[in-house]
Amino acid sequence: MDFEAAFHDHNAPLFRYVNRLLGDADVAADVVQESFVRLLRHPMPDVEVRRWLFTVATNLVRDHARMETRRQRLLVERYSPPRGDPGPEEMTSRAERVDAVRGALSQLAPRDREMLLMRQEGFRYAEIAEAVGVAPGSVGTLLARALRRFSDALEPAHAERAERHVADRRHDASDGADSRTDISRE
Amino acid sequence: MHVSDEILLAYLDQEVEAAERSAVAEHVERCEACADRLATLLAATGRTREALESLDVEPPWTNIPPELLAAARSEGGPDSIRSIATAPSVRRAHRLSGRAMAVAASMVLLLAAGAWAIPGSPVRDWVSRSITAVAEIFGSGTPDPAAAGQDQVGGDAAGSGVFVEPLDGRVSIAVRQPGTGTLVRVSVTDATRASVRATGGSYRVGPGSIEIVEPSGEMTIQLPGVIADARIEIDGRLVVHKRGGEIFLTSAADSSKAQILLETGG
Repeated sequence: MDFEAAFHDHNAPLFRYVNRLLGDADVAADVVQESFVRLLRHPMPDVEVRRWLFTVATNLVRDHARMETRRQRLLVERYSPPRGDPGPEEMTSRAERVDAVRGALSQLAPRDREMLLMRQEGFRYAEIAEAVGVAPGSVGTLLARALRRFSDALEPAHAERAERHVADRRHDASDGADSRTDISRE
Repeated sequence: MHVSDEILLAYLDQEVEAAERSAVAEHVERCEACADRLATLLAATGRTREALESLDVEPPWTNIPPELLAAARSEGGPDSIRSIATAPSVRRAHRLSGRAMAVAASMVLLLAAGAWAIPGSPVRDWVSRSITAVAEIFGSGTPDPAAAGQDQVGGDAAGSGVFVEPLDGRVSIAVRQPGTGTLVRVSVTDATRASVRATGGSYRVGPGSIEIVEPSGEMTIQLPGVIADARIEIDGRLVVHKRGGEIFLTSAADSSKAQILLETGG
């Protein structure tokens, strides 16, 4: 295993993933560095390194969440949807955007959050299943739900418009001659 | 019949088999409802990607951190770097060549030194242990075994300085409660002992360690180039770390009432 090449290839995406999960760049840096330290102790074929690193980092984030319950509570409070006047003069638009995204992520279960973020990193469903510990056959269902919840939480107004649009379409379709049976597993 | 969201998402993610992929594509071609849901999933994927990108910050390292690199190249493996890897204070390092460390004072890096402690940090614990192990005191460069275990005014060290022999190839120097504006000059020399010259305050010397309390004005710290590991801490935070042929300032050296001058040959 070429450790330096592994660091070069995976440092940035792993940090991005962990930082998105945690919302704390300092802790994310520690998690990433610890993941690479553990990689040093467990040499493996290069092809396995990426999935292994993300799995280890995911577990470290879970450990961190368990050990830092107070911190986690503060994060949830911090990123809860704003109540009342947000005080625009004190918040930049970027900060507001970050808060909104964090708020949307916080509404997902930790496992759904991990799966959604691993999908964004381009992992195959089988790799996601192994990393987060779910049955491979359930990944699609869980991901579809996580994506819908995150998207709705992110832009509720957009979600309402989309629902109305779909309802209108269905209404139009039901007026037509053919009747359809929904086989969705959702 | 409609296609479920999970199948549509798997279709988007190219996670369906070739035969099923064709079937889904054909269905979406003739089913407006499924085409709408596919478009919705595609739009949600795009919004999700954009939203998550807004959280991104630059990673702290563009290259492998020195302590990790050293561990990867060492025979001993990563065990010796565990405390560094998990210490939140050490992330940003300025690498200097081994050759550069042998010559003093041509390139100067000026950073402020962090002067606040980290309760419960492994570094702080280590400092506490090293202070407890005080065994000898040297004043004005003259060893005085009879004074072991006592404090001594550090002002006397302004001349020839306080010295300490490395312990197992390691030296640690702890600065406590430096006065505002204290200037800490750090250099690496060919000497075999570490030395500290300070004005004001008091100091204690233990096996492989020196503690300086309440220094003010200017301090000069010289580290032996030959030792494997040397650490300088200010109020419990690691601010300078020499490891093998490298020496670097840590992120803890970013803000403080004290300043660090790391002086090395270019």
